[in-house]
Amino acid sequence: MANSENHYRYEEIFSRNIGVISREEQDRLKRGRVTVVGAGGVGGIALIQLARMGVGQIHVIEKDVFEASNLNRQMLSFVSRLNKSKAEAAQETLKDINPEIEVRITKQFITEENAKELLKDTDVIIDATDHLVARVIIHRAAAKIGIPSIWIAVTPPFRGGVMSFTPASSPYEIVLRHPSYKQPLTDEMKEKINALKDRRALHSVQHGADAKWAGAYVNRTSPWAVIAPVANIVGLLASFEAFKFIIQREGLKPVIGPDLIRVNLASRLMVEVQTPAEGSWDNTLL
Amino acid sequence: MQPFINNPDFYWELVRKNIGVYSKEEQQKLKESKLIIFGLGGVGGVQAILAARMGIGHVTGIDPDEFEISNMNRQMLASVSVLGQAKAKVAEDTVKDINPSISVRFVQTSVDEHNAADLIKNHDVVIEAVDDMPSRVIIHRTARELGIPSVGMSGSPPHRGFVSSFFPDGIHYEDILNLPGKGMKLTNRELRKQIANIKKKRAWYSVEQGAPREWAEAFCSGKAGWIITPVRAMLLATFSFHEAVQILTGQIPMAPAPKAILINLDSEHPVQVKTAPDSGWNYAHL
Repeated sequence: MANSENHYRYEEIFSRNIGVISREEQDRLKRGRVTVVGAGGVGGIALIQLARMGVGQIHVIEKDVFEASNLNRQMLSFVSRLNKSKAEAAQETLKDINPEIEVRITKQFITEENAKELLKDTDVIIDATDHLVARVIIHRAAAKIGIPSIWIAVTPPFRGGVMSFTPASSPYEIVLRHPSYKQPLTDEMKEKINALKDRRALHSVQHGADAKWAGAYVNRTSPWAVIAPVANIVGLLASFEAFKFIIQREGLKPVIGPDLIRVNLASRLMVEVQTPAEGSWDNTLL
Repeated sequence: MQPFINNPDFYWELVRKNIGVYSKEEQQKLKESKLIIFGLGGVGGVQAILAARMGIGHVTGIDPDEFEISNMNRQMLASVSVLGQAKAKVAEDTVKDINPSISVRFVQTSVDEHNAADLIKNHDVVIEAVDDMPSRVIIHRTARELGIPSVGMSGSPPHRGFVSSFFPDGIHYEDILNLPGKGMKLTNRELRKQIANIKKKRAWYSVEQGAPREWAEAFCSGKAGWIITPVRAMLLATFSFHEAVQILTGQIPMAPAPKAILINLDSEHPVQVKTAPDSGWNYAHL
């Protein structure tokens, strides 16, 4: 076993990538910068994947600490980390995968006031939050400062989605039919945005989610239900979209909204790229 | 935190967010289930973690190897701090840090015709996540003889994968994959060679799918390993693990042979379920 950090050379850690990825692409990854908002079920696995791909600079934005109910799916969560900062755990894990990686952590929630400052100086942003208002803030800010942003969804029982936005693409709030496009985020508007998620819970019953659970979610007595395979597949696909943005290979283009990578583990087409007929999606059905 | 971990409520808090996707009764079944995983590398290592996070009551894990630097690009259990340690030991420590009350048996050994039945008996599902063909055959044959369902997978460059489930009363692993030497002992050296050679054909087919020619040449002469990136390894792990969970909760999985889950991230249908042609799969093309 190697006993000096010098032995953990970047090239050796990522030697098995070569063949799928060219050396030039691996260099681009090494210089690549990714910001991940949220280090939970989707963000945690995406962060680990980015580190294992060899991305050189990562910014983790996450305020929470680990709880026992994170353990069913969050790859950064362990009993030994309960009550500890998710952002610090991410930093520790990523450094233990690639000691050369630069990890910046910010233990704050994204707000309209801090978004542009926190999201600048990066090549791509992954929005892995579970809060619909925060998502609007993230994708608005990303478009304004000219950085691509990746959206994800995880919906009971076995559904999910990944879709990317760029400053040139159709905007997030249009593609997902939010009532807030070009409107200020007043308290009333925030309520309208949050109501979309309640309707998603109720709609998920048609796909096999437990009706009692959906009712309890709407009444705020149950958390969002999510199992490890779905959260992890969505996080993986999101990390792969970030990878595409960074390596910029001819013929390997990110899936840009309104095109959507749709996940449904109960369907024969378990993962499929879909284009909406009307040019946008009803977010409550996703 | 420590006292809470020993509290019987800890398990139900760990799996709280599974409920809604799975009923309490299904979760109870998972709690009483016994899973065995062969291989604790890029695919099996993730499955061990997912098993603990899903709340499966008992996990057995088998792997002969120790962690090396070039494992770190994809193996979720691999990190700088465990280089040189047995994969079986690291897996055991990790799953216990997710669910301290999980029952485990992790063994540092390879599987062969002599120990397979002893290892597999008394489990509810077998997951095969090894990378050499003769061991794959031994595992699926033995599971079938013992009347236990088994889940198999394989992955090929650049971004392709195959997952299928096998039942004691269903089609044989060796039949659907058109493998030579059905029913013959794998102690026959010539036969082992024939089976191992199929992987060389897969390397050449991968070149047609976009993998580099130099890599296939190096692989066939034993100078290079199979190329595999974290996204493909994780997708294979997650989809095959989902098969195992469907079986354990008493449902029909997505891909009982002759059906299979086919992964190809370079296509419009990145993941889909397909039925094998009447002649079975051409393993060289998977």
